[in-house]
Amino acid sequence: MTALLEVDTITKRFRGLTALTRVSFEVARAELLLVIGPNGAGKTTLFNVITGFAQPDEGRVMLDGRAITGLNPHAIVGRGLARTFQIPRPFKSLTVAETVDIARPSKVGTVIGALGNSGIGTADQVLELVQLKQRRDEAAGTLSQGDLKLLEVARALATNPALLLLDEPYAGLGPGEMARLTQVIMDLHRAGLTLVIIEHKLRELMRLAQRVVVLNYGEKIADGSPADISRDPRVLQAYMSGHKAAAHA
Amino acid sequence: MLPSRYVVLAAGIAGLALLPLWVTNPYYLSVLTLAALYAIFSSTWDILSGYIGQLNFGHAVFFGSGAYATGFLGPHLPPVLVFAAGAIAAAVFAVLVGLPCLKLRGPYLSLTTLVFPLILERLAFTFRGVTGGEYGITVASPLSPIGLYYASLALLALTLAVLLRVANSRIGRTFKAIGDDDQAALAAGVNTTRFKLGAFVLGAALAGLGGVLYAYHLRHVGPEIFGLFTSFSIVIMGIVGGMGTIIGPALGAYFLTLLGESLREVETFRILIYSSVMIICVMLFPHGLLGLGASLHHLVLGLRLAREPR
Repeated sequence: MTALLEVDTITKRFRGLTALTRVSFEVARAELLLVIGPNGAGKTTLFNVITGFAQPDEGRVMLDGRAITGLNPHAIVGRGLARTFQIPRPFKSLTVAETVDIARPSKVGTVIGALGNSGIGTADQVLELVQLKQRRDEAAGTLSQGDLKLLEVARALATNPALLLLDEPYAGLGPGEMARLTQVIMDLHRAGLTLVIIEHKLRELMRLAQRVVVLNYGEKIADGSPADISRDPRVLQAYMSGHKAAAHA
Repeated sequence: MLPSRYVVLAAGIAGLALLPLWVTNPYYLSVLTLAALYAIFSSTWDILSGYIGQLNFGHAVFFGSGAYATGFLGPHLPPVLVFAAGAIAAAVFAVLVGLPCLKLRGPYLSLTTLVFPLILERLAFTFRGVTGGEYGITVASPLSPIGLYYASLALLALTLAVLLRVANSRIGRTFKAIGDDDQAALAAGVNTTRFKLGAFVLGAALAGLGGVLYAYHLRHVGPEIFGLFTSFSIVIMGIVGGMGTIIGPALGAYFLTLLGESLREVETFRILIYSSVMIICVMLFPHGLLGLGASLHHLVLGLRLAREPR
């Protein structure tokens, strides 16, 4: 079976600074992949390139065997690839339910249908999934940081993705909210959604992830099972050398 | 909340429809017609500027092209086709203006929209053989003044009904989402380009219909329609009335048109007073005339708090 997502030798430069250098990896269907790396390693840039918010200087991205490099972000969403933003970007004029309702669902995703009844889920189904249903009529801008993060996930899910990219979904969450999010991620994973997650809070996800890709200074330095990664000397060195704070995460 | 807005709208239009029973002076009637037309222009401006947040300083391009279409085609076509031509001309300009503006945001977009009416103003001077240059074109109205008043009012009612219907639908909420954060809207799978162009075309086509009536009303169309003051007036009406509400800008248009006309006797100070009212409105009533109640409530609360000893 071919990989659902194929990142093929991506290079991205910003005015002489190389943010990503020939990064390649694949994501299999129904896999949960963790992307880690110290601050500034290029993780968010990688997400931006995959989702069409930034164009790579070299390389290409394939989704389900078709190139998506150069497509508009909304068209990529239509192909079944959704994302969240690290810092929540709520629609301040809309309520929680309206935020989910304006999302344009793709035809290729199966997750919402698998979790709900059949076909594409309604706004309420998606909100129930992330446990935001009781907030449905509140203005999106007035939510707590934790709820905003979950609303990011809900909006992405409402596009009915086959592949979901989460950019530091745990950042800024309290312990209870983290448990909620872990439950959501586990449910989605179990339902067959393919997930790629950028995260610092390793302990939460190391147990869930099947594979880990490690970036450092824009280069992939490791790619393997969580157990292998945590013993990899290059990974340990990347986290130890001047990135002590990140090592505690 | 939602139905009440339509009830208020229907009551307002009905009230305006009854006005000619008392207002028999032809001058006052013509001012009321003008106010209705400006209400069409400012509410159509609002769908792009208030909802998607693309502050458009060149709305005159749209009703101006409708008015010029009337000047060019009025003598040759029946009125129905003139209206169609006005709407189509405006829609074509909406695409022409909209396409280069899609990638622009904030002040860059506003400055770009500002340039278009100035270009058309220049063109009107340049091709004087067709446009009559600074003298413009004389337009014959197929309607009597009272007929024009009711036609304008009917078009205003239609415009507000259509815009409110769109604004309160999923499309309108998508417009608001794009206005809040267009990157996040893209991430939600929204084709922001199509929606922005759609808002341009919808607002422009309705404004173009208004432009036809505007030309009939003035019995003339000239390059001054593309002047800066015309376009600025629309922006001011929209802001004073309350952006992103459709009804608000229409209210603002009535308020400022009637204010402007009542200041005719002090012509020298007209723009000064006009601008002062706008500054006061923006400072004290950030949600416009439509949000006046809430704003006053906040103001009183604020004053009371300020007076309380710490």
